[in-house]
Amino acid sequence: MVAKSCMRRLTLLFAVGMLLCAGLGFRIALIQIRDGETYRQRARDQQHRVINIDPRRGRIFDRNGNTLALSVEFDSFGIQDLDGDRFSTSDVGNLAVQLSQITGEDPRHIVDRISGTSDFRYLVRWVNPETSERIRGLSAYPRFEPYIRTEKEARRVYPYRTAAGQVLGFSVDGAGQAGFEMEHNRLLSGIEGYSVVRIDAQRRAYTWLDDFRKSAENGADVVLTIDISAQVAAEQVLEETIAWHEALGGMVIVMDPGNGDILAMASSPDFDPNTPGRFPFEAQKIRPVVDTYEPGSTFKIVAATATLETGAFSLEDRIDTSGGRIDLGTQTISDHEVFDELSVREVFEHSSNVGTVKIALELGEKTFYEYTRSFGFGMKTGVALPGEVNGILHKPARWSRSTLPTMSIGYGVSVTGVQLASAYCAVANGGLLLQPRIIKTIMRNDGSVASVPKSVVRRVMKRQTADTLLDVFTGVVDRGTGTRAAVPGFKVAGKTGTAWKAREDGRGYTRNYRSSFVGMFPATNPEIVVLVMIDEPKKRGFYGGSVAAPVFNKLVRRLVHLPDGPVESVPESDDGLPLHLASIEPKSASDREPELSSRLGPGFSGQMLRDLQPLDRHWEIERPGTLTGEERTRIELPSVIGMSVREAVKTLAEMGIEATIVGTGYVRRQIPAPGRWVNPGDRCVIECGPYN
Amino acid sequence: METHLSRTLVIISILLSVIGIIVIYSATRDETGLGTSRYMLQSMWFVAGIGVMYITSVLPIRFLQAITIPVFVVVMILLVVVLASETVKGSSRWIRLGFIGIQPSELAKIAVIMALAQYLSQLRTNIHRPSVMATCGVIVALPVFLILSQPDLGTSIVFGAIFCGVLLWAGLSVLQLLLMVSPLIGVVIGVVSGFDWVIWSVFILIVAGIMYLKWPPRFVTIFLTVTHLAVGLGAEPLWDSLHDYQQQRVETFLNPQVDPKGAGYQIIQSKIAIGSGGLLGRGFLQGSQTSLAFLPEQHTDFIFSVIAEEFGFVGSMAVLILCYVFILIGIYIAMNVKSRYQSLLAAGCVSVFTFHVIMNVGMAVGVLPIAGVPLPFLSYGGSFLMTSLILCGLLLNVWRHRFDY
Repeated sequence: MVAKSCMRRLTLLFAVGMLLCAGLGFRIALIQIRDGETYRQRARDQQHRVINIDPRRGRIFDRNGNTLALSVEFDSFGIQDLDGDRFSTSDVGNLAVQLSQITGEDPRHIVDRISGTSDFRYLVRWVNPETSERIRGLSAYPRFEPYIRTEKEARRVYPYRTAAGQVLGFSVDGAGQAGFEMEHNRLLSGIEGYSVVRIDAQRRAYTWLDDFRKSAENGADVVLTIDISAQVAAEQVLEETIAWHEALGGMVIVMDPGNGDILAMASSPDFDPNTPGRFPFEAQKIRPVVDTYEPGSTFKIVAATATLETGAFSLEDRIDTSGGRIDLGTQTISDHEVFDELSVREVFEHSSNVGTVKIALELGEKTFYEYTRSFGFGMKTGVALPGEVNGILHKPARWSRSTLPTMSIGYGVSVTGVQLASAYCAVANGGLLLQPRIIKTIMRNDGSVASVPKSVVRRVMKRQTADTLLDVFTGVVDRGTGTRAAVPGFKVAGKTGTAWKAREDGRGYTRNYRSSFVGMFPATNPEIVVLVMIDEPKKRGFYGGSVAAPVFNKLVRRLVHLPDGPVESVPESDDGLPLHLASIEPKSASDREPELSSRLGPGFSGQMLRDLQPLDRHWEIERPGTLTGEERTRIELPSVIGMSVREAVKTLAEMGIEATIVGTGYVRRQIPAPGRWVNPGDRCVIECGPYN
Repeated sequence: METHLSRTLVIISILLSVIGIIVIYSATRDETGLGTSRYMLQSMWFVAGIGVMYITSVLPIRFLQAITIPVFVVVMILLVVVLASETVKGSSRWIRLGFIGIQPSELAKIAVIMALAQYLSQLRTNIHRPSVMATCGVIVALPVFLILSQPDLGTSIVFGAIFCGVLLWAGLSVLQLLLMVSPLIGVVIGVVSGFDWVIWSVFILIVAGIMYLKWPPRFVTIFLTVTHLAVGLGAEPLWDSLHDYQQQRVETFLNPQVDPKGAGYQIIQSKIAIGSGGLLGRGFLQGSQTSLAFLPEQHTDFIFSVIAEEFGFVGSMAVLILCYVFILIGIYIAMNVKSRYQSLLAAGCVSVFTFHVIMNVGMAVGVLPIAGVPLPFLSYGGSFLMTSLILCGLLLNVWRHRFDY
């Protein structure tokens, strides 16, 4: 029927049609053949997600198995992909008001968050299971339910609140930020795992791909040497004293001289790691290891030791301290009261500066310096806590004429509390300088339990010297400056110290004091060494003997469960053994087990603690703080973010890490994150995308 | 050759339908909560459709001509009735008959083709007369208006394709056709440009130029002038009177990129599915885009993407070539039958197939806007499968009766 005239037109039309068809075919070829691999990759990208599996952070226990830090899972509610237009203002308002009644937050803030523009906003974070049930039960909740994502978020909890707050430090989102948590983050944090899942368009996890899965390695649990009851006592006594004397702050250290265990380490002002943001940054400081101070008379331990060890003087030798002053040319050193002639023993008992200076001058710079070094001053003790400093001890070459005399009485030298406490421990334990120990045991994820051995740094003095010194220090409490430290019924040894605080600019001294006392209890066979330092007492005394010594007294009474008043006779313990530090002694594991289980929740086995029980004093001597074989080979994962896939794979391969690649292009994310510790041969997932 | 032609048509339509059922199985096997699975329903429609196709192919021409008006009237009534039916996803398209639902808009395609062929093949009709064009316009506009009210934009534009195809075949020149639809183009230009007077004026100048060249009859000139004036003056206030969501729907239709999470997202997902098929495809049931439900409407509008993902370039080209061959045979038939009625009938059928294939595949590969136009024989949907088979039956009928007119 087609007329000839139409033919040309129809042919044209036909040609156009064929061209269109050919065009479609060409387009399909482009998409499928030329760009096929790209699209396949895009499909893979959008169909897979790498999900981190967070390891459980290790718990921290005190020496008796009380939990000092643990991670608890809380519920968090977030809002995702909320289509704001579908909800009226009153819907949003209802939810906000109802939520605010539970959380106590200002409903306006909640409204702001709900109506935020980002894809995902937190509604409420970190609520306990009860509260989360109540939130789910809200009448406004179901309306929003399709958009609400709940997740379990682990949060660090410190059940004892401020007790040992600075020592523990705190951790946020799995990373230690201060204190022990920071210093031993590697140990506690464990190794992140991951899993690759296939997801569907609704972003529901669909299939777990087991080939690409690495389970998390939980962090190690750590038992500290801290005894939480001693710690609490120390903090309370310290706070009371600081309040009474209106002091700036202070510190208390309780150590076991037998093995160097730190039983308590209190710093004031206090700090609650549960709410780090509410405290000034200063409060996080572990003062006994971070702060240095001029120790004053407590430093006379060096002169005393050196004298007895070298035999320069015997205890009965007489020293002329008449006039109570000694002129050093550039400055004059005086005593707090004028003595006439004192025996060497009396020089230390009464803390005569003049006498000490004379003894030190006799000893000479070299000997004095050697003993100072031998006690560990001017060097870190190596205690496993962050921020430890050396203190200040100049070499004799830099000394002036007045350095030796002033240093002998504790000026011109800066020490940390933990150095000084360790020095007194050496006197208390018969002459051995021990490394202060904060970690008692490490319980790794794999079930292995490692105890940190006692570590002897060196012998500082002969046993005999130590015994003699102990006797001298007992005299300080019996007759000398430290009488207020005396605990009736016991022999107590100690040394007082009262030092002017240097001016901030280093030119001379202020009229403010640091009062300190280091005591050993009981003097007959010391089980604890207590260092007390009170910073700037302003009211009701300033001498170490009147401010710090009573702290020792109160603390020891509490530790051995003595009443506050005078005690007539020596209390006997039930089993007839010499009175032990009853409160410090751990209960048997079986006693504690139910309590612990209930506190730690299911999954905790008492076995772990039972295994720990043979925790006693005699460890084979080994360098402390060394890493186990496995840890030594661990490597810190480098950051490959931003690198091309090829570069990243190469970088990781050089470190023995196998890369699992998700996506193409440039690395956007890596799991585990940079800086995490991994074992060689581990896999690292790198998520890639186009460069941006 | 001559008998092979119809056999080839039948084979292609059966082949495509079976491929469709297989792919629908792949695309919907994870769905739950359906009484009968979709591929089973589609199979039932297919079996019934083959029967109807055969019947259609053997009906005498006179009978076809005789039932044209009754069919048209019945379909129009159904289109009115469907407006009162329950709405699914915001539009009312189905009439429920027990457990099956039929879409009268699909049947309307057949009715309109038959009506146009019937009308234009009458001896007295001269395609160039305004009254004839107006009548053709009414025949198409009536169902389009009713279908737009459902609302179903995608199906209604198919009628535009039928209109253009049949009228071109009947002898109207391209320019004349352009003039006829120019008021509609004017509306689209207005909406897209945000009622920019400059652009619209340029457009009007072009229309005036064509009118000067072709010098259409006086009535047409007057008609066009009036409609263009009406569009120019009335479109903007009318547009403003639409609801926001209605405006948005039209805008998204005209420009899918406006709504990246909707239409734009669909195009991206479709391209990813097609591309990840590569040369040989991921294999039957292995299409991850499909099984993870990234593809929207994968068993209907985007079934081509599923084929491309699972069977690769080879599979998608095979399907496309089958479609082309089918269309070419249709064109051959339309050109080689002597009767004007039969030729126009065949031309209408070919228009529908061509439009659907190009539109659907063009949409899947991201070169044409998403209009919700399914792929003949392959896409899920009983009414559409039935319509495709009936249209194929009409082609067979035309070829079978090519000598008796």
